[in-house]
Amino acid sequence: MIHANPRLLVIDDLFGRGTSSGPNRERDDLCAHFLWKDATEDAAAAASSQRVLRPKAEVVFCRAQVPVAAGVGDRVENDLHVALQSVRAGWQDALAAGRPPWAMVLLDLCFYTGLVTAQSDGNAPGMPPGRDGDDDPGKYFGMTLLNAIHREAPELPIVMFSSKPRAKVSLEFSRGGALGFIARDDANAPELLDDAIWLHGLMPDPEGEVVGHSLPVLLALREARRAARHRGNLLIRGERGTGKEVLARYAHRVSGSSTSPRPFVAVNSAILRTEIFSAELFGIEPRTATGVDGKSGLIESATGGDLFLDEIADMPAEAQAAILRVLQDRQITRLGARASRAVDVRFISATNAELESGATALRPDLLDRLRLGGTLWLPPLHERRADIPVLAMRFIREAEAQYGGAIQRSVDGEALQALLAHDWPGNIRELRSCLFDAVSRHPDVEHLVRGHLRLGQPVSQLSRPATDLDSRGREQRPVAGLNADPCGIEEALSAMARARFSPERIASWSGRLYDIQRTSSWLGARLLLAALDATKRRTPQHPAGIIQIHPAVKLITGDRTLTASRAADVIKRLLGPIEEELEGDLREALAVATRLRPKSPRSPSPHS
Amino acid sequence: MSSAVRYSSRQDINHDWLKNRWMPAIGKIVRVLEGAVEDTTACEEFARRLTTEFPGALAAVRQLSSRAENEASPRALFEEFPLSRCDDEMKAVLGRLVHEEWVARTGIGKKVAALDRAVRDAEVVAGATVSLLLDRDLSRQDREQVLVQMRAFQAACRELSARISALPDTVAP
Repeated sequence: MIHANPRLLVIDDLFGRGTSSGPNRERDDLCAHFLWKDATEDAAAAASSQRVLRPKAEVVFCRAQVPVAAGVGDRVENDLHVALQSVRAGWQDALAAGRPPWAMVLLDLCFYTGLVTAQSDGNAPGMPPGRDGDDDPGKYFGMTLLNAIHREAPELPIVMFSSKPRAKVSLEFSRGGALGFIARDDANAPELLDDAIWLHGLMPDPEGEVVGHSLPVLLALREARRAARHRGNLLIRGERGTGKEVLARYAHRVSGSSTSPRPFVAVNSAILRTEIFSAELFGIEPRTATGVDGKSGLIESATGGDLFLDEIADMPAEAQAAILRVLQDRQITRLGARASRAVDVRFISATNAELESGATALRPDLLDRLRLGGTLWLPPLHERRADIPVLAMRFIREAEAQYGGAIQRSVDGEALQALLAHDWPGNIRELRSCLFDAVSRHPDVEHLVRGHLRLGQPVSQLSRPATDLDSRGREQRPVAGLNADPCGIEEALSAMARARFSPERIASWSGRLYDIQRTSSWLGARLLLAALDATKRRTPQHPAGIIQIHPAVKLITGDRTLTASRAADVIKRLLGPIEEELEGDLREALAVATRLRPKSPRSPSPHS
Repeated sequence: MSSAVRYSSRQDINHDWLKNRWMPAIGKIVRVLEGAVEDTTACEEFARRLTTEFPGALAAVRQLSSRAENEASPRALFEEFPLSRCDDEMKAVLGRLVHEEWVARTGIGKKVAALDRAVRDAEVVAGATVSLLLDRDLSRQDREQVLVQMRAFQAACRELSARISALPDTVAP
């Protein structure tokens, strides 16, 4: 279940006090003013007759005094233990149980103690008039609470929330670990609190895209929101399969307005290979004379928004230098253009590399610029096991939707224990594959049991979900994994073959046909490049080898009867669409093919 | 009177009553009129409090204002050791000089006058507010008129609180 509203704990004597019956009028007024839903489990909340229509937060109140519901003649005393119990219930206990923890604690300063008199009770039922020292800034009980809570839960955000003067405690609350001070009587207090919750609060993603409410995830989400204020470049670190791109999309979402969406362009850095990175990154200027069509590069496409560079440590050195220049100059120049263009792009990069080890080829000066706005850490799944149940249900529902079954499954207790106990070296991606595999192999069961789970199987050996190009494009990068790893190519080809485009979302693919064609051409071109290299004729006079297009094409087509002129046709069809970007052996291969077959090849057939 | 002693009435009025109880109550009525909170008896209840509770609180603020110059003046230090050992004539002369210098330095007269103005304004706005709350049926058109009035009342109470806060809260040394 997604908790759209943050859960706050308000520790305050006046608003936290209980009643034997009837509402706490001051608490009701405060909740209405700040648009809170009173989620306190006490008689006062139960007796309230007001209803906040669109609450901004769910709030639990704590008096931090005993008795909680006092009457005339009762002696009210501060009680640190009561306050800490409330903190633990919504913090340590919630985190351990996989429930959303307190987003924030709002802490009062002055707590009145002493005997409840008829007069003090008449002013505010259950409130004592206060003793000497209660209102002394040097002895505020709120500061005692702050120190104790921060010592016990240092990551729990605490903001002082009082109508006492801030100046008298400003140094003490900072030293005590509070993140801010909101004057409750400020004319803009509700808006100031909204800002504080956004900036300091620990809240799950209300859209549910980033799944989970374990502390490391909540901290990462908070850093993403904080970074949205300055739009500095972000670096996301985490192992493979931890959801770095999903977090990048969250960072993008929270830094824009819903009314004017900004572009988010995702790219796998490994595709920015020497032969194509300039055209990919900077685009191509149209040339009327030669008929070359113009094309926006990735950076230009992301102007005003975010460019997500996945697997940044795999980026070739030339591309690194080019990105560095863009970061320095904030300008790009299209291939074939004379003038540069200004770009306003935030770079969000991701890597699973051990950057500190120095084993990567990532330039330190580039790295510094790419993480100028902060570093977000995503933990491996085995460090956020509390999120496994909610992640599991999410993936099971996705799998059920994908496989079209009518059955909604639950997870049997033993199966859940197995999921919780597994180490998940492939992280969330492995969990997802495991559950898709279980659902697809057992279409007619209502319960997933331990025997349905193939834990510890390599992801490539599980039945994989079809690539879903409709669901926010998460798997939409057909170039992912196209390196020397043949398994990667098999996976990518399989994913491309099964990809489907939703008519409802077709508008978001406007103009992408040529990208797909170009990428496809480059895939074939790199295959040809490898074949050309493998079939080179090396002699003492030519130690680097002389390219031979005929044997190279025969090798990659598997057609031993192929003639030289047909091989030339294959090369022209393959390299023609990317002619302007070719260099080295590929350029030479096309030149040889064109000399052999000066005319245009016939329309292509799959077997030609 | 010890120099560390605070004005208990100022504390009671400004922090406990005005800031902690009265301002959130006004805030709630604003939310009800905005349509963000449902509470069928809230406006009627608030109008009742406005006629029974508010005048008494304003009277207390007036008393606070009338006592402020006298009670916060450093002249009071002549009643405490060691200045209390001065003879009466010395106390009278020095006390007057100290008081006049303090009045000139702190501008206490202007602060008291500003507080008095804030009290009068709040009283006037409160009167108009209660009339509107009781007379109107809070249909959509009336609701917006009352909302404007409530916001004016909210501003008047904030000004009142700020003027009380501007008074010295201890006897100056």
